Amino acid sequence: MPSAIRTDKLTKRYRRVTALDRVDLDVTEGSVYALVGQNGAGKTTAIKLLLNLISGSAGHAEILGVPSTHLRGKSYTEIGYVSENQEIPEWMKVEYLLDYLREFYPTWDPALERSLIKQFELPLDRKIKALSRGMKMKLALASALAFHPRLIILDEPFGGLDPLVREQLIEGLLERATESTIFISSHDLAEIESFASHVGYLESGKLLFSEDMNSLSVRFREVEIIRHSDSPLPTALPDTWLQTKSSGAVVRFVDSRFDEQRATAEIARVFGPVRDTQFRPLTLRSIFLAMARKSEEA
Amino acid sequence: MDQILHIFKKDIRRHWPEILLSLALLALYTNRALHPWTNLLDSYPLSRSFYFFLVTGEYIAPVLVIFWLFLVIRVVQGESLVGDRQWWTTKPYVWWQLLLAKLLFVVVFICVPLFHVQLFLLHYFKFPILRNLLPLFWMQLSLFLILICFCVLLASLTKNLVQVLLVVGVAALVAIAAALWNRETYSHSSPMEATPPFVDHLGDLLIYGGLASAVTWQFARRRRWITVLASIVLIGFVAAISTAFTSSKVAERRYTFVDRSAAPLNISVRPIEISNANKDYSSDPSPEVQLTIPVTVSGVPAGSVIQLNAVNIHAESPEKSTWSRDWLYESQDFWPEDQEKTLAYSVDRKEYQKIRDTPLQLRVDLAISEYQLVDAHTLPIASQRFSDHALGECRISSLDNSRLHCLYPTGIPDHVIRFDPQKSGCFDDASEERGQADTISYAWKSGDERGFPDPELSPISDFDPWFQPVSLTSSQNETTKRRSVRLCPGTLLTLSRPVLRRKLHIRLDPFNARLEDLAVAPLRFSFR
Repeated sequence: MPSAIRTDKLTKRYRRVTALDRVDLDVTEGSVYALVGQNGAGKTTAIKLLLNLISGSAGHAEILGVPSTHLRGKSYTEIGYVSENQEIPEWMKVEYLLDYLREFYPTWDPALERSLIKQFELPLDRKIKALSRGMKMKLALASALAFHPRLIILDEPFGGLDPLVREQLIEGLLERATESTIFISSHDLAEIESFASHVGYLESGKLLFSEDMNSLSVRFREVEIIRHSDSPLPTALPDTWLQTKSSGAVVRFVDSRFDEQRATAEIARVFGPVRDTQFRPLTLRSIFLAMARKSEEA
Repeated sequence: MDQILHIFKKDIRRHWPEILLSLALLALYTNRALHPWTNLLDSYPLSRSFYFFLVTGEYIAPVLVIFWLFLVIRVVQGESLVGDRQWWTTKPYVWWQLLLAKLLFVVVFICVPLFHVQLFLLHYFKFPILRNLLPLFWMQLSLFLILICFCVLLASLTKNLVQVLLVVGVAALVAIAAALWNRETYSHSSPMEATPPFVDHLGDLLIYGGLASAVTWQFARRRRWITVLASIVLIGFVAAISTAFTSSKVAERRYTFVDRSAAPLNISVRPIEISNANKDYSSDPSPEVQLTIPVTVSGVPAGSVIQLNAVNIHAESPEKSTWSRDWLYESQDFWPEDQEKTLAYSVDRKEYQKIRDTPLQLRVDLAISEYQLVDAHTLPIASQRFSDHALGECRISSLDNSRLHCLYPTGIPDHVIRFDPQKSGCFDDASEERGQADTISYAWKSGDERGFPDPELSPISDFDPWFQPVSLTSSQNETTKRRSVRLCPGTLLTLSRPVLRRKLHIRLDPFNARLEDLAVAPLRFSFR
């Protein structure tokens, strides 16, 4: 599959602070890629570099086959961008904004526009400055979807929205997921989990991993062991075990490279024979908490 | 093109209240410009219309220009070029179409209405329109380059009006600080300096080219700090080359040194009176002491005028130590009827204190311009308005009846007006001892060094030819009865056009004096 987004050692430094550190991304066309990480991890910086809103310090990025530094003017007819931080012209009315934008996009679909207005219940005669935050995000999303973009980039679109609005936004987005590549940054893991096909984890500007959701959920397991005695934990534990804790004879940890046979063999090597072992799948949230804590400990 | 018009229409929709206000201000300005003869005394006694005039008339032009600048800034910042959160930057805007849309707005709502007003004013005052189209074009270009382009650049480098005001405030503070430093550091007199023409042209090219390039670059790339840095470097470079090439030598080379026998006038220093007054100015706050040198003048050919441009004094003491400063600008006119004049020069106060009572041999050099007066013709003053092809539409000033008040299209014409009060018969016996003497008077304006036109709004130039009497010898002045002179209907003026013939450097015969014999007591101001 061709790449919708590809970066090669993309780096952004602000004087002594490295906001993004040699990030290699490959987002295949048609995927729903979620870039997750804590606040300040570098997600927004990455998106601004991809969209040529700021210039990078090193590395290279390509969007739909075009170097990101060449993105301007007509290139944006194929990219829909929604961000919680964007300054929409608030003096316009909703209807006028859509009318105004229509002229810029040769692929603008009036029928889709009408359907999005209906779906998002947008008040056409209201000025944008009078809209709630949720309404503004819905308007931004409608204006980013109505021209059938090949790539939709969303920067923290759900921040501070009530659950109903989030649900409406996700629904609207998913209906278009088949025809577009979606690249979404968020720290709201619960929503991402339901529809992302790929996920990347950014921590302090570094991309710790980037893979598809299925392999990620297979790779991480919470492991609970009941030992025969409550002896202290050995000091040398495998690197792939995260957040190892013991309580009496019970030991719990997250295996970040789970394979049942290998995990069983490692447990036997570390603890010897055990009374019981259980492997439980993890939510995306639990996986990222484990990763974040490991990073903090490091 | 579609995008240009699309953005343009959006800007009209957004800024229509400001557009209407701008047109209303322009209408008020036009109304004011239709009455150039109006002044405060004409409006006496005070009336409501007078107050309206006072509020709108005097301030309407600056208010209009400031409002235009505000409008340009608002329109450009509608799609702010600073920051990374603007909504439009991720939409398919083509940068050059955005730039052209903004310029189209400026042209349609500022330049075109102003152009129509200018044509209307020319028509109203019965000046030829076709002949003045090219000067009008230059006026518009000048307004566009100097005000609008600069304003577009400022708007493209700032995010909002607050940032604009901050930049303007900081620039004003820097200018005030520089002016204060300049006043403390440098003398008040102006040294005669010049820059070679190619440096002037190169500077203009770099500044205007740089301005246009900076605007274009900022629209194309939106890299504020690179644009700011490049602009500062360019301004610094232009200032550096201008400073490096500006010197008194360049100015002096424009004046050909001629022997006094080849000079177009005879000028010699009158005997210097020995001064017994205490002229110790060591405690005076002024950085300079002014010297005056009385001279007699004769031999200025009829149909000519000699303009004094600069003076240089070189001094030598009996011990052969020398002192000299540099050429200083000094403006005086020598007419054929002139007999006595006084040259002025300034010396550094500390230098003066050192040598003030030393007998010196002084050598005075003058930089002069010789003008030939051509196309002479007479003009009788009519009781109301009168017109002349060389002077425009004129009338006697209602504020001062020894002046004319004239209107001329697109600039002030070069003119010399000769007025002989003896032949006018318009003496005002009631006000003897006031006003000018009843000797021959001249009013003149030369425009031999016209540069780029000023960014003015009105094509009608408003000027007051001011008559100054020639200087006769003291004895004649004393014996001539001094009576106030006024211009009155029937007065015959002689008009001519000054044409620069040559610029000369002449040297007067050396003379002996002490500086304190030439020094003038400094003016002292006190506030109570």
